[in-house]
Amino acid sequence: MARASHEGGFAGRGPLAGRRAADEEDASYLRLGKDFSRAKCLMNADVALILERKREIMEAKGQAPKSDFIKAYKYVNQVKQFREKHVVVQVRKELEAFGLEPFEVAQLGNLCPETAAEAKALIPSLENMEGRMLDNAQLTELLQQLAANKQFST
Amino acid sequence: MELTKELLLYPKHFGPNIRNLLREKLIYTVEGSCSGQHGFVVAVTDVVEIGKGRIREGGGLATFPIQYNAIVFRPFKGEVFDAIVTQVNKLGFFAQVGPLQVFVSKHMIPEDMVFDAQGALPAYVSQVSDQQPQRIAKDSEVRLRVIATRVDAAEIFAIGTIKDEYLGLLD
Repeated sequence: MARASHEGGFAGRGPLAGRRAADEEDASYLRLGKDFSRAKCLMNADVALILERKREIMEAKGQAPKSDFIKAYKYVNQVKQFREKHVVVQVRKELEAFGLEPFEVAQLGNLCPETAAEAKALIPSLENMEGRMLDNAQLTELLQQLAANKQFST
Repeated sequence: MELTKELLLYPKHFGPNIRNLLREKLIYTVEGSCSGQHGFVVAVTDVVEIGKGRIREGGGLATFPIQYNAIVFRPFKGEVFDAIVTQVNKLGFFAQVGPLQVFVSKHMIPEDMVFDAQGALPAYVSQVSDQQPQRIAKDSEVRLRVIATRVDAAEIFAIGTIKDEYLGLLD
């Protein structure tokens, strides 16, 4: 994979090595750093579901949520594009079936762009990554599916 | 944004309840914390494994390695977010993406948007169109791209731009 070899290139020793690697993080080329290569990317709607459950548990225990939790909770509920659980699950399935990277799945699901051009402008990695079969027609179709689900759940 | 991480804890309360105690202490310590490497820890989802505790020499404390999964929020350069504007002034505006604060400088706002301090809320107003002018004021939702992040020991701060195609005010 392209990314693996890239990281190898920066694995030199010396005080600057770690720092340079951090500077090289760039979402438009899907360079997220080593720690996140195995991480799963969640959409805001996913996070909203998890935090909702967490809030219920905390409430049952009588714990007061922390300020960062409240901020995150408010934020995801304000910006999430899909509300119901089965919709979220379905959207994720459709996106993943497309052979997209997890990061792109999350970004598409969060931003819900309307056209292929918009999607590529917002998420440059859709265009930057070579060796992938992804033409505009397919992307448009995917975005239409997204839009349909979005209206359905609001 | 899920991730495994190891953490050391120093409980003084050994006893049959130690696992629950460790779990609670973990959640209490890491939730809401923030590191430059992993970003904001929003919520611990599950504890994978609590390793064997090691008693430290010279003291009665024990160290437990704990592996857990958590939802973290780590902004990356180039990532696009929908943010909520919190503060507008003549230098630019601040917006909030959950726990993350993003600053968008005046230079990163399109030229046709002008700072307007006349109204009840200071705002950036676009006057190109004859129709309803676009106003970015407190509580507006904007779509922005992160262009750089600054990482402190306990805080991440980002600067963003709305000067690009498809970025800017959301309806």
